[in-house]
Amino acid sequence: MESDEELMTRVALGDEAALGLLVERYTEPLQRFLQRWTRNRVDAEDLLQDTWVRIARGAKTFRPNQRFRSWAYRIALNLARDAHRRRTVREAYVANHETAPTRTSEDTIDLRRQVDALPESLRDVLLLRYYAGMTESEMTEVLAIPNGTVKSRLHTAIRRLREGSDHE
Amino acid sequence: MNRLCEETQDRLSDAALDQRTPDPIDREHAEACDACAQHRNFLHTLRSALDDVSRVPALPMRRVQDRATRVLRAAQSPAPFGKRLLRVVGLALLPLPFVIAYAIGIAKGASQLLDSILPQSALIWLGMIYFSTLAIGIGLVYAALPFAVAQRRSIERNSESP
Repeated sequence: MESDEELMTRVALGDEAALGLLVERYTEPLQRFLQRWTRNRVDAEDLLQDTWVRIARGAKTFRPNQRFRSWAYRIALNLARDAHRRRTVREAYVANHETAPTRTSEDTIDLRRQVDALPESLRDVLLLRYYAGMTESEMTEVLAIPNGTVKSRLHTAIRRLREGSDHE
Repeated sequence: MNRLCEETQDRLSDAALDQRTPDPIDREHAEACDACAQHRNFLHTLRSALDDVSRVPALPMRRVQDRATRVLRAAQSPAPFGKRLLRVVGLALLPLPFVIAYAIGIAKGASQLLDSILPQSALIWLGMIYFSTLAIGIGLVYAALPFAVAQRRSIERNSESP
């Protein structure tokens, strides 16, 4: 199986089939990540489309020595952050569009709210780790922060959620 | 909490975030230790909370793929002729002031050198020939640019077609 980076090198030369393979590999994990990040399905879908548009448009700027996964998630994360900054009436929008939770326990719903309420810096590492299965070094590339910071943010995120869940 | 529990909880957290089953040794420890059992239960709830998003219907892959492919195709196709020509002419205009300054310098030097040898009318005639030849040369270079751009596009198109 060709690596993501090999496929991306082909995409840079205009190979549409290679782009198709990457879309197949990454659309679902990217969508899950964006959905949890934005807390909203409609936003996540738009951002997912925009992410692939950016990837296709920027294919020529992709360097084969970088990791495709880190590159793609960095694009997705930057788009999500920009969209979040642009939104001024976010709370109302979320209230209208948030996916209705399916049959889940109260603890799960509370914890999901706590995840959503985490500071962006902590939420980023948690979601990249869980939905993208990223290693610390990959997160270092995506978030442009040192390895130790990634580790401590992940640890802090878990600790905060645990404390929050213990108090309830 | 002792060091063993701390390390076990870290490994349990890693396993939960990696969406895999914890190592048997950590599972055994969590069964015997209340603090670690609580942590494992918390991680179980956390996974349920995060997994909830997986139940959302996926966006049709075809739609994503089609749009990305269209963008890729547009990015690969050569820039429109006018835009490309403008860029080339812009670049070609950059050295023009230096060429003109150099030509004037040469003319001034030649005029000073030949001033005592040739009559004024001959100097003017030589100057006119020099500057008109220069103008024709520069004009020909700029006039050739659209043809060069068209030729380049044609070569690119031919190399793209299978």
